[in-house]
Amino acid sequence: MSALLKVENLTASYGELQVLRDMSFEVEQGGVTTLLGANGAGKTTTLRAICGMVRRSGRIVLDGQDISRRATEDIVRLGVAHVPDGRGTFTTLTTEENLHLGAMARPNNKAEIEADIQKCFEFFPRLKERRNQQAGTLSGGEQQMLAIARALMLRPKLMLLDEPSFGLAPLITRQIFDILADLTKETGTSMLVVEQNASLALELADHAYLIETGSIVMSGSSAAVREDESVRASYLGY
Amino acid sequence: MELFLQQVVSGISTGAIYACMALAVVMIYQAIHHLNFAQGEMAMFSTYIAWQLMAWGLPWGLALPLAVILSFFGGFAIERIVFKPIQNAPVLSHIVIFIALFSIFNSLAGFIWDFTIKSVASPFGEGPFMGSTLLGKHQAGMIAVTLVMLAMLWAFFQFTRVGLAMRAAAANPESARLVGIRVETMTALGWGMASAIGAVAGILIAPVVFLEPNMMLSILLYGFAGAVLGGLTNPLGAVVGGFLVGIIENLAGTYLGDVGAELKLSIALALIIVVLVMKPEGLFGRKIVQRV
Amino acid sequence: MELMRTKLMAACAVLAISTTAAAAGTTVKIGSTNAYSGPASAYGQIGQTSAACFNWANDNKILGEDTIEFIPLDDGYSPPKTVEQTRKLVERDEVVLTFQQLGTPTNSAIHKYMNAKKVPHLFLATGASKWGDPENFPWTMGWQPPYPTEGEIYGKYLIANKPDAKVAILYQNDDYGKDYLNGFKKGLGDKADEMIVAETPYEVADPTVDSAIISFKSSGADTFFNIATPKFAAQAIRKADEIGWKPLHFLNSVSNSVGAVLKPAGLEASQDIISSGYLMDPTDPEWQDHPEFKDWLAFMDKYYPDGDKTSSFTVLGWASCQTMLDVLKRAEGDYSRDNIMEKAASIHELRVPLLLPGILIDTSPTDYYPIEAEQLMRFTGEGWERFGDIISAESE
Repeated sequence: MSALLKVENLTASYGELQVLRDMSFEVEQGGVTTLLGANGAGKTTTLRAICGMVRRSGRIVLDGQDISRRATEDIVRLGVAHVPDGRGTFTTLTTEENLHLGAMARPNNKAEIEADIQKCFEFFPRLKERRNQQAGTLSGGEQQMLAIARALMLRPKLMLLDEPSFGLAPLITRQIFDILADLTKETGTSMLVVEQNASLALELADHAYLIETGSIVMSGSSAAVREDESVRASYLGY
Repeated sequence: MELFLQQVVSGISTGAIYACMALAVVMIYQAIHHLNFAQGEMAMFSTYIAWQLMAWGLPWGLALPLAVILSFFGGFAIERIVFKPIQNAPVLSHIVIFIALFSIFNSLAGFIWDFTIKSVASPFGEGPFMGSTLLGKHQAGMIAVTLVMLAMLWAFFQFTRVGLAMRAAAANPESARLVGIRVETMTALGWGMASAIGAVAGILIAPVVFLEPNMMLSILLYGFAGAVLGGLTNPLGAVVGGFLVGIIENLAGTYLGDVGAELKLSIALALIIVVLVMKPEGLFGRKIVQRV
Repeated sequence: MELMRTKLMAACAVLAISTTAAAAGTTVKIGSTNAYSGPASAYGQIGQTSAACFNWANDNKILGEDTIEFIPLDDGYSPPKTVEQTRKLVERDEVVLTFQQLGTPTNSAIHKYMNAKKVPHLFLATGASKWGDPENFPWTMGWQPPYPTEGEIYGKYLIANKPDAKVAILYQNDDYGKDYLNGFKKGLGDKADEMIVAETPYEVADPTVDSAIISFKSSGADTFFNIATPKFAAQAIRKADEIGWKPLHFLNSVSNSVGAVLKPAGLEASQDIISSGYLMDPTDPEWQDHPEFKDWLAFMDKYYPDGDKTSSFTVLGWASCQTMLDVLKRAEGDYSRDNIMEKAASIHELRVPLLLPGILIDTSPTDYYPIEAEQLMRFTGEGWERFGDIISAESE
C-alpha cells in the first residue's frame, strides 16, 4: 500500500530546546498508524510539527505534496484534520457551530455540509441531543466526540488524533475507539493516532511506532509490537 | 416628568454613540485582547473624510457610505501594517503604538483641517421628530441607525460563514487555524469593521457636538466605560452598557445639582466599579464554562 | 579705474558711517511666547502682528536711534514649554521684558518666576483677573479688559434694563469660567441670589452641554449668560434654538467670533445675542474711513500682508503693541527694568489706535488693569451692532 504521509528526518524545537530528533515514519493510505510513547516523549510535538504549528525542519510529504514549509491553514486545506490534545473545542460556540467550523476549509456547499452534519449526528447521537448547547457545557467524552466529528467535517484525507483517551473514563474511551474503528472502515480516512494508552491504540492500528525522547526506537505492525517483550513490560503492563 | 423624559431620551441618543464606540472597542479587544485607545481619533478622522467629501460637493448619500468604506479599508490596512509585526510583542509595545496612532490622527486632522469647529448638517434634518417635544429628528436618526447597524452586525455574526469564522478566530485562535481559518485575516477584518463602526459613530455625533479634532476624546472614554460595564467579552453587553452610561450621565447631571454636573463622569465610573465588584465580568459578560 | 576706486571708497565710507550710527542707539530686547503651532495656533496671529509692528517702529524710528529686537518663541500653548522658552528669553537672551505672552495656563506657569526674577511681564494676551494683582505680583500686568469686568458689565446692564430677570448661567469649570461668574454676580450686587435660578458648570472633557440647556429651559429662566469656549458656546446656542428656548442671551467675548462660533451654531439661532467689545471690528463699515483704521490697513499691507484683516487678533496685536511703544517712548532711553515697570504702571488716559472711541488706557501702582471699559453689541443679521454707551468698571 502506498504511503499517504511520509515524514523524513523531522526535527523540531521549542526555542532552544530540541524535542524531536531526526524522526522518520509513514502513514499508509486508508490505514491507522499509532505513535506510542510515555509523557514528554514528543508525541504531541510530532503532530504539531506535521501541521506546521512548531518550528521544524526535515521533509514532510502528504499525498505527493511537500508540506514541510507550509502554514497550518494551508495544510488543513490540503486535507489534514487535527484533533488536538485538550480537544480544542470552541467552548463559547454551540455544538452545531463547532461542526460548521470543521467544514470551513471546504467550498461552501450548504446542502453537502448539512448532509455531513446529519451523518455526524448518526455517528454521535449524543451530539444531536446537545446541538444547540454551548460546547463548553458538554462532558469530556462528548467534547471528544465533538472534536472527532469536527475533524470529519473536513472530509479529510488524514486525521491526526492526539491522545483521544485522555481524561476519559474507560467505558467512554472504549466507545470512542470503537467509533474510530468503524469510521476508518466506512470512510477510508487514514489516521495517525498518538496515544499513551498502548493496548487500545494497538488494537485500533495497523502499524505502530514507539517514541522515546524524540526519537523512534521501534517500528512494526501492531501485532508484532504488541508481542515485543520490552513493550509489554513497559507499556502494556504484562 | 417632561424634563425627566427629555433627559432620558437625550441620554439614549448620546448613549447610542457610546454604544457604537463600545462595540468597536470590544470587537478589537476580542481579537487582540488590547483596548484600542486610538479608536476615537480614527473615528474622528473618518468623520473629517466624510465632511471633506461633502465639502467637495458629494451628496450625503454618497459621502457617508464612501467614508465608511474607506474607514473599513483604513482599519484593515493599519492592522496589517502596524500591528501584525508586533503581534507577539509585550503589552507595552501595543500601548505605545496605540498612543502614537492617537497622536498622529489628532495632529494630522488638525494640520489638514485646522482646529476651529466645523458644523456638520444632519442627514435627518433639523427640528422635532413627528412633532414630539421629546425627540429631535437627528436624535431619532442616531438611535435608529445605531440599532439597524447593530442588528446587521448581529445577523452577520450569527448567520454568515465569515461571521462564524471571525467568532471562532477570536474565541480560540489555535483551534481556528486547525480548521483552516486564516486567523490573521480575520483579525484584520475585525479591525476594518471596528473602524467602519467608529466612522458611523463619528458621523452621527458630529452634528451634535461639532466637528473638531478633539471631538471624540471624552466620547471614547464613555465608550470604554460602557464596554467595561457591559462586559468586554460580550458585544451586546457593551452596547447596552453604552446606552446605560449615556442615561446615567444625563440624569446625574440633571438631578444631582452642582455636584452632579461636575462629577457626571465620576458618578458613571463609580457605578461601574460597584457593578464590577459584584460581577467582575460585567453585567452581561459570560463566565466561560469549561469542563475538563 | 580711478572712478571705480573712488566709488568703492565712498561705499565703504557710507557703510562705516551707517554701522557706527546704528551702534550709537541701544537695542531693546523684548521676548514673547505664543502658540504658533498646535491647536491654539490661530492666536499666533496676535504675535505675528506685533512682530510686524515692531519692524514698523524700527523703520519709522519711533524710539529715535534706539531699536527693538523682538524675540517671539513658540510654546504650542503648553505650559511646560512656556516655562522652558521663557527661561531661555530671560537667562540666555537676557531680554529686558516680555510682552504679550499668550494664554492663562501658560502664563500661570511662569507667574512666580517672572516676579522672582523681577522681569517686567507686560500686557499679557489673556483676560484672567489674576494679572492685575500689583500687591503680590508687581511685575505682571495684563492688557485687555479682564473677564470679571466684562461679567460685571453684563450684570450692571441687567440691573438697569431687566431687574426682574430669571438668570441661568452655564460656565466652564475652571478659573476662566469662575472669573466671569464672579464678575457677573458682582454686577448684580445684592440681587444676585434672587435673580440667578440656575448655575451649571461643565468640564472641557464633556462631549456636550445639551443636557444643561434642557434643564435651563425647564427651570423657567428667561435670561442666559453663556460662559463657554467656542465649541461649547456654539452647542449651547444651537441646542437652545432647537428646543425653542429664547432667553436674553449674553455671550462672553472669548466666543463671539462670527466665523468660528456663530456660523456653525447657525446665524438664525444667534440673532439678538449680546456680547461686548473694546476694539474696532475691522468688518464694521463704520470704521472704514477712520484715520486709525486706514493707518492700520496700510501697515498690514506693507508689513504683514498674510495677516487676516477680518480678525480681531490682528487688531489686538496692533493696539497692544502701540501701548508697549508708548511705554518705551516715555522711558526716554532708560531701558532698565525698574524704569520700564514704573512707566507701565503710570499710563494716564492714553488713546491707542483701534480702541473703540471713548476707551482709554489707565494704570497706576494700584491699578494694573489697563483697559476696563467695553461697549455692548447685539448680533443683528450677519454682524455685530454696537449699542449704548461705553460702560466702564474702572477700579481705583
